[in-house]
Amino acid sequence: MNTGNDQSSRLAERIRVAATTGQRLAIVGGGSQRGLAFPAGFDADVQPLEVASHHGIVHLAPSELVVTVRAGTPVVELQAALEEVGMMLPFEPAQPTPSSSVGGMVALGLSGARRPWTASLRDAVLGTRIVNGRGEILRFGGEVMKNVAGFDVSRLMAGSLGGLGVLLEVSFKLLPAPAYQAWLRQEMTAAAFIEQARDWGRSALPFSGLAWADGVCHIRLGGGQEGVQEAAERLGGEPDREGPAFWTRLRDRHLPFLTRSLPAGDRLWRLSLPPATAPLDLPGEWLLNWAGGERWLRSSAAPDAVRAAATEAGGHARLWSGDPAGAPWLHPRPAALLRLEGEVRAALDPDGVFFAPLLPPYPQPARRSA
Amino acid sequence: MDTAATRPPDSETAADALAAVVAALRDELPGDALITAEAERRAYECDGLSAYRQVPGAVALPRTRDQLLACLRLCREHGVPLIPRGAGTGLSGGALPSATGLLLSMARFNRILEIDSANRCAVVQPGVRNLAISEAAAPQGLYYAPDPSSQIACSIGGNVAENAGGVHCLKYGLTVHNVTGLELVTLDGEIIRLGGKTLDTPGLDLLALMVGSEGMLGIVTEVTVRLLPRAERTQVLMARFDEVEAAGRAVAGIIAAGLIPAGLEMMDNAAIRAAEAFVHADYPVDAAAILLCELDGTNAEVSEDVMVVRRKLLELGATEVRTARDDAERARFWAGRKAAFPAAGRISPDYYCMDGTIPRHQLGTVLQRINTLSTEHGLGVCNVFHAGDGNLHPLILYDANQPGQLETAETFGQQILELCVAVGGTVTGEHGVGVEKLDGMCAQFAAPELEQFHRLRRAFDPLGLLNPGKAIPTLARCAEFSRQHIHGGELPHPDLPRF
Repeated sequence: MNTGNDQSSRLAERIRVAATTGQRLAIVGGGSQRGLAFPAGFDADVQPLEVASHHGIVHLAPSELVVTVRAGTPVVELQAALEEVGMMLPFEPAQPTPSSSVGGMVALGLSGARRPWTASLRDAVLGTRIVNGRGEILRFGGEVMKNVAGFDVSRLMAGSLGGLGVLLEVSFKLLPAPAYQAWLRQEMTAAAFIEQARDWGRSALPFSGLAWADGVCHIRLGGGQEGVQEAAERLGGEPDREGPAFWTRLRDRHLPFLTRSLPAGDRLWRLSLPPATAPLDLPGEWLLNWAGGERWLRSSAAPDAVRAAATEAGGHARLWSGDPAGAPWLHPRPAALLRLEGEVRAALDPDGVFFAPLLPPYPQPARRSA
Repeated sequence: MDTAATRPPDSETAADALAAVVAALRDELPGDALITAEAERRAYECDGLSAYRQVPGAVALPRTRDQLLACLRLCREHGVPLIPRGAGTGLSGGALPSATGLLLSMARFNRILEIDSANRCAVVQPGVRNLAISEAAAPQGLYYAPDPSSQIACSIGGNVAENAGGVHCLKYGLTVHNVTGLELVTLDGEIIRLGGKTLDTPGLDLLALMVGSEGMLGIVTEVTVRLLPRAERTQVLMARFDEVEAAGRAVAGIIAAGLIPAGLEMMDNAAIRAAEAFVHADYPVDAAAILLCELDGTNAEVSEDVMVVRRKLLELGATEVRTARDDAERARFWAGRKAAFPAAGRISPDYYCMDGTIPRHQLGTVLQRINTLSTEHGLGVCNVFHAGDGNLHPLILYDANQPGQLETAETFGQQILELCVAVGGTVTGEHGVGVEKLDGMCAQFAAPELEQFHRLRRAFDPLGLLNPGKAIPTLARCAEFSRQHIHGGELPHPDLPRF
C-alpha cells in the first residue's frame, strides 16, 4: 500500500505563502460538486488550490476496520479498493462522477441512505492530517476506534466546506459489506410512509435504507442471509427488481427527481427533519430518504416559507439549486452561533486564506485575544 | 499565551476574587445551592480518580439556567475559574477542583424533559444519570446505547464532556455518535443550541467539537440523545484460549467473517482469576485469556451469527466455547467482566486503571511489554480489553500505604501510555485526559497541534476560565516533559516502529 502521490509539503508551502501575501485560496478536489461549496463561483481575487494530485490509499487494514486515504483520491477508487476486501464506508457516500474526491466528500459532510442505521460521514471519521491556514501540517485523531485525546478536530473538518483547512489524509472506520441484501417495494402515500417508517423504526430489523419516491416505499435490507430473508418476510411487499439501480441513483443524486431541470422560479431543497415529522404543508413534489429524516422538495414556495416550515418542525432546509433570490444557501442560524462558528474558523485560519462563502464571516477582531 | 488563568480585573488576589463571587452569589442562589463550609466542600475534593485531591474554594449547585448564568457572569467579572462537574465518576481527574475556583455541580439539572418515541430520541438535562435514560425509555422498547461501567451513577453531561464509551461501542458507537443535539452556555453567557432531533446540522459541526471537550468550551444545559430499539434477542458466547495471541487473532477473524458483535471483550489470566474469585462467573481460571462475544438482533440473525462465531472461534484456536443457555447465565458471563475493576480492588489495596487504545494487531506485543514492565516495577497488572475496538484497560495493582508505590504505579502507567502511542494508538480511548494524562498528551501531540487546541479553546473561552489546566497541556509543561523523558536523544521504546 501507500502508492500514489504525496503533495503535503507543496500544499503546506502554498498556504504559508498565501497567508503572508494575503492571497485567498479555494480548495478544489475532483471539482464535481464545486457548486455545493461555491454556489456563486469564486470571487475575482481567489485562486483555486488543486488537491486532486495528492492521492492514493495510504493504509488499508480490513481486520482493523480502518482505511487511511489521501484527500485527492477519487471516491470510486477508494470504494473499489474496499469492495475488493469486502469492506465499505458505513455512510454510503455519493460518487456523482468518477472524479469526485474523498476530500470533497468530507468537506461537504453529506451522508447517504444508511445514515440512520450505521453512521454519518462525520461519525466514521477517525482521524485527519490537515494543513491549517497558517500552513502548519497537523494530525488529529488516528486510526483507532476510540480516541478522546484532545478536541475532536477531525470530526469538525467534516462538513467544513473548505473553510478550516486543507484535508491531507482522512482515516475512516469501515464496516464489513453485508453478505446478503434484499430490496422490497410497497405502494403507499408519503404520509403513510412516514408512519410506517416510524413504526418499523421501533423494531431492530436489519434495515439499510428506507426511502419513498413516486408513491413507492423502497426498502433495502442487509446482513446475514437468514436474518435478511426473515425480515423481508415479516415486512411484506414485492421484490424490488429495480432496487439496486434505484439506491445507486439515489446515492449519487442521479434520480430524475434530483437532476431534471427546474421550472422557472422553482427551487430544489434538501430538508433535514426529525424523521417522524408529518408531511409539511408546502407546495411541490417530495422525495424521502433516511426513513423520513432527509426530504428533498421541488417547490415554487418562497425560501422564507420553506425555512419557516423546517424551523417549525425542528429541522433545517438547504437550498440545493434554483434561484437563491437573496436567500442564504444554508439554513439561517442565530447570531450567537454564527459568531461562534466565525471564531472557530478564525482559530484554524486566522488570516482568512480559505475562501468559504457558505461559512459565517469572521467576527470583529476585538474579541479575539490572539 | 497558554491556559494560565487570567488575572482578575483589578488587584484582587485569587482568594479575594472568589470571596467576591461567593458574596454576590448569596443574593443569586438559594441557600442550599451554595456550599462554603469546609467539611461540605470536602465531599467534592476528587472525582473517580481519587489519587488527585483538592478541596474546592466553593461549590455551586444551580437548579435553573438563570442561576447558572449568574455563576458564569460573576466568575467572568471576577476572573474566577469554573470547574464543571457531573456525577464525579470520571476516571481522569477532569473534575478536579481548584482551591480558588468555583466548582459548578450540574447535578440538579436532573430532569428528563422528553422521551420522543416517534423520533426515537430523548431530551434530558445534563445531570440525568446515563442508566435513567434507558429506564425511562424502556416502556417504549427503546434504550440509550453507550454504557460506561459507571452507568448507574454517571451523568449524561459528564458523558458528553468525556465522550464516554462502554462495552458496546464497536457496534453502537461512543457518546459522540449518539448525541444529536446540545444546548450549552458559553462563558459569555450566550445560550447556543447545536443540532436537535435531526440527523445532521447546518454549518460547522460544533457538536462534534463539544463532545469530549472536558468542560473547557461551554457548560452543557440540555442533551438530545438517540434511542435505539431493544434487540429481539441477545446471546453471549464465552471462548477460552490457551494463549493471548490466539484470542487476538480470533477477534480479527470474527470481524473478517463480516460480523460486528454488539460486544467483544477480552480478559487476561490475572483479570479472569480476580473476577472469578469475586463474582464466581464460572470462568476457566487456568485460561490465558477469555473472549466474551455478545450478538444481538432478530431471532434469525442471532441464530445465524452464533453459528458463524462459534465456528470461527474454534477454527482460530479457542479450546472451549460456551454459549449462555439462558438469561441468567448470560448475566453471569457479563458479571465477571463488569466486576473486573472492583475485583482488582479486592485482590490489591489500590489499583490504577489505564485507558489506552491500540491497533488490535498490536495486542500481543503490547501485552507482552506490559508484563515485562510489571516484572521490572514489581507491581501486578490485570488486563481487560474492549477487544473489538482496541481499547485496553490495564489495572495496575499497588498499595498506596507502601512508600513509593503510587509513584511507581504512575511511572508504569505513563510507560504503558507511551507504548500505546508508539504502536499507533492513543493515550485515552474513553476516560479523557483530565489532569491525569497531560504528560501523555505531550507524547501524542506536537507543539503546533497543542497550540491549535489552545486557539480553539480561546474561540469559545477567551479568558480561559472554564476548567483551566485540564485536557490540553501547556507548551511549557511539554517542554519540561520532553527534557525529562528523552535521554541522550532516545525516545521511549526505540525499537518499535513509529507512526
